[in-house]
Amino acid sequence: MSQIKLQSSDGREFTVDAKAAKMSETIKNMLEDLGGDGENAIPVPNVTGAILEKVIQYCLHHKDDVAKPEEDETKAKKQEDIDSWDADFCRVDQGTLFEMILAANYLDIKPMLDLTCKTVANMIRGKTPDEIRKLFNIKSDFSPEEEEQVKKENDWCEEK
Amino acid sequence: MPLRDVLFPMRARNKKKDAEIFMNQAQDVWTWFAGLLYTQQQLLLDGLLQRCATVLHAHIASELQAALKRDFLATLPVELSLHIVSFIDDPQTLCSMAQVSRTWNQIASDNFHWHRLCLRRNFIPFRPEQVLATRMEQAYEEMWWGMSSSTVPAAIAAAAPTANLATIPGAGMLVPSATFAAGGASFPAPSITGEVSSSSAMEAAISAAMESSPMTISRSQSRPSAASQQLSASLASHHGSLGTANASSSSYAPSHIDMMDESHSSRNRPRLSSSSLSATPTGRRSGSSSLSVSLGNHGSGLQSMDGTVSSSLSSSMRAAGHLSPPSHSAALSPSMSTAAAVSSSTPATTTSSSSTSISSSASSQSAAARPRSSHVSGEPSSQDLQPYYSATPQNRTALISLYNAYGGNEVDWKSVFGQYYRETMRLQSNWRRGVHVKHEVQAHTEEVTCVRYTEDRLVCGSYDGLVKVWDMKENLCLGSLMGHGDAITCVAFNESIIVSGSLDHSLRVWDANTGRAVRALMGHTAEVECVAIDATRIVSGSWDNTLRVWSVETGHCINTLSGHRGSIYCVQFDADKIVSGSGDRTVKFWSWATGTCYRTIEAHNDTVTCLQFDHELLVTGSYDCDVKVWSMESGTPLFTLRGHVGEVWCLQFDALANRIISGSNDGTIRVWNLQAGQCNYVLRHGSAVNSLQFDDRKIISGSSNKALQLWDFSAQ
Repeated sequence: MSQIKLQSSDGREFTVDAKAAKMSETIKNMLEDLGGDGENAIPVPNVTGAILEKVIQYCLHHKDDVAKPEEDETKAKKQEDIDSWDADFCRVDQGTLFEMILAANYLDIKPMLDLTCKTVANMIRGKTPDEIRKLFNIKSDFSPEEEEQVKKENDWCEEK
Repeated sequence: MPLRDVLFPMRARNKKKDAEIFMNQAQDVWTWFAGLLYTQQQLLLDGLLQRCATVLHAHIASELQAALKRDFLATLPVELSLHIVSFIDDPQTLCSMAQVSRTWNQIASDNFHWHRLCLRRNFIPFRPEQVLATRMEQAYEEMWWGMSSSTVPAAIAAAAPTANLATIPGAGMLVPSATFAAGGASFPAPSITGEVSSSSAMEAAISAAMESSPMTISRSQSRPSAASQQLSASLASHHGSLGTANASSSSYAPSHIDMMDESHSSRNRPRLSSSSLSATPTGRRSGSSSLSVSLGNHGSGLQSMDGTVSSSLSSSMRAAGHLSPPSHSAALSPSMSTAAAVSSSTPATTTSSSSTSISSSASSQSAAARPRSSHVSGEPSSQDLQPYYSATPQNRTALISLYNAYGGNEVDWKSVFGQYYRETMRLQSNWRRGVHVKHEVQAHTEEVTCVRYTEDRLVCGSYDGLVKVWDMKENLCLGSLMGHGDAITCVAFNESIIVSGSLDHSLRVWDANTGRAVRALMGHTAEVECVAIDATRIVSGSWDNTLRVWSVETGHCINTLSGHRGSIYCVQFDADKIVSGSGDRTVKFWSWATGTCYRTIEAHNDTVTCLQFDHELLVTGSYDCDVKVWSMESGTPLFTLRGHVGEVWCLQFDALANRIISGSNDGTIRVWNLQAGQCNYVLRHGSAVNSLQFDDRKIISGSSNKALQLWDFSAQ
């Protein structure tokens, strides 16, 4: 069984290399549970076709990756460790990125989840509160007093 | 304006009806559109876009801009938001994030991240096993000596000559002070065990939190009640392991005062280590008040568990002066670490920032030493004390639960981080600008020739022939090592041994825990000038132009390295090589493997008096007043630091901190910028600086005015 079929929430079917599809722990478990014959499409109810397409794109590119050893949690995670393919892959609008994070989480593809979350983190890094609000179209819901308070709580970090 | 006027501005009649029809049609189109396949929608939109006027494109663009934006942290499931933030390492960004909105504040201020940042930067307020050990020690003292250490604020005047311990003349060894023998000997083993068990528990906890997949990172919530429960449970188990608490502090307080008086009056009697006590009250208590607050709270948590022990324990905890924070290595001040404890239990408490380290405690006393040294005067030798703290399973459980209480969510790690961060910034700023407070301790009766320290010990030697050992935390002279027949020129020490070299041609090895003389190393045919040690080897340099390598274990001379044509003044070694500087103006590199010299650098125009190397750089100082920086790999000079107008006697550099600090016969200490190769500033001292050492917070120097100087850069 080298090819399997996946069906997105909006009814699109995708034929995927089984190895790539099994990067998703969720699909892997489903395959084991169902003992799928390759004929019936596996439903992926929480993911739309557009996003599933991205996910499959990712999995095909990374299916032969060697599993990285677990990182030391206290070690600095570097932003530079996103390679250019991955960076391009994540060069999408925020809505798509948002859906990709949810999909990677639902399908349990750890490297993709890390990649997408890291991409968001990189968007945030080094920005002022105002820049962050602008970037994500966020309205501050602090009252003036709260704002003052929060500012005071966090001003120790500012470069002097 | 009504919708119909907007939709049909030109037509006067039937506006209302037309608008209705239009809206119905639009509704149909939208419904139809929503039912289309993704590809069909795309196709349709493409067509529509092509048919739009440019103004509509602009409208679409601005609409899309907002529509395509996502407030990730607020709309994603919390565990995913936390996962995103886990990729943010810098505190500045986290602080920015906290100011974005309420939700962001909640997520960016989560303990999870700040704990991680604290761990990474080694901002650990204190190592719990040490806190535990200290408490157990106190509890033990309460029971053993039956006295509270919190009653009379007394000080050991470390600065005064009375701090000198009385020694038995001619005995050739130290009469160990009580703390030195009992505390020193029994402590190392348990604290190591404690560290192992608790840190592994810590790791397990972290990995458990990280492994669960998909992401399940629990949000942290403060549960003070749980903290005190855990704490009281752990303390209760100490009680179990310590035996019966048969003494309450109150009943023994009067006798304590009596003993204080006695020790005070009999200070000049020989063999009285309590001669180092003087009943001078100090203003130090104010500085340590924050500690007593936090510990008092924990103590009260205990009361519900066990009436008897709790009274003695909590009172001992309130002996704030004694509970000085253990983790000096992490470059933090007592106020920092205590503040962490305070914030965990009483968030509203504002900590009075006490000035810190041994500077502020220049006149402080050891509460621990007091009962014991009083004891020496009247009871059997303190050496009879057995190590009372062993790693029983009970202890280990207690350690882990205590660690959890402190290492988990009970600590506000963001505020811990903030305080450390501010502290670090302040230190950096102080070093940059040269802001410091100077303290001086008259340590010897002759010139101080050498001084070395670690976070808890300081060893110095002098022309008066004595090696003195100090407790860095209590700033207390633990004793003098007597035996050399002439001036001390150099010292080196580690956890187990102290090695001193002397003008009497010999080196002596002392037990670092008891102060006992272990052996003398004889072999040099002239004055010994320098020494370096590791766990197994001692390397000494002498005026007889040779280096000798000695075995720590046997005391035998393993090798003699000849080649220098002048006295050897300085030596350092690592795993592969020995580097020595000499009166023949050269620096020589010796290979451990072959035992021969493989490189000679014509370093200076006069005697090379001091050197230090790391994997990259070699720095040398000389009688020719220069400090030179060399490439370790090629042995070529990189640059010369000029400024001293007298012989350079001592130096140290720290590549990470970008500092070289040199001391000279011209009575100054110069702080240099390593990268820029420039002198940042000059610390004027007035008498020749014979020896110095520095760390993140301070410089300690020994000089010809018989004193030790502490240049404290951690001041507010």
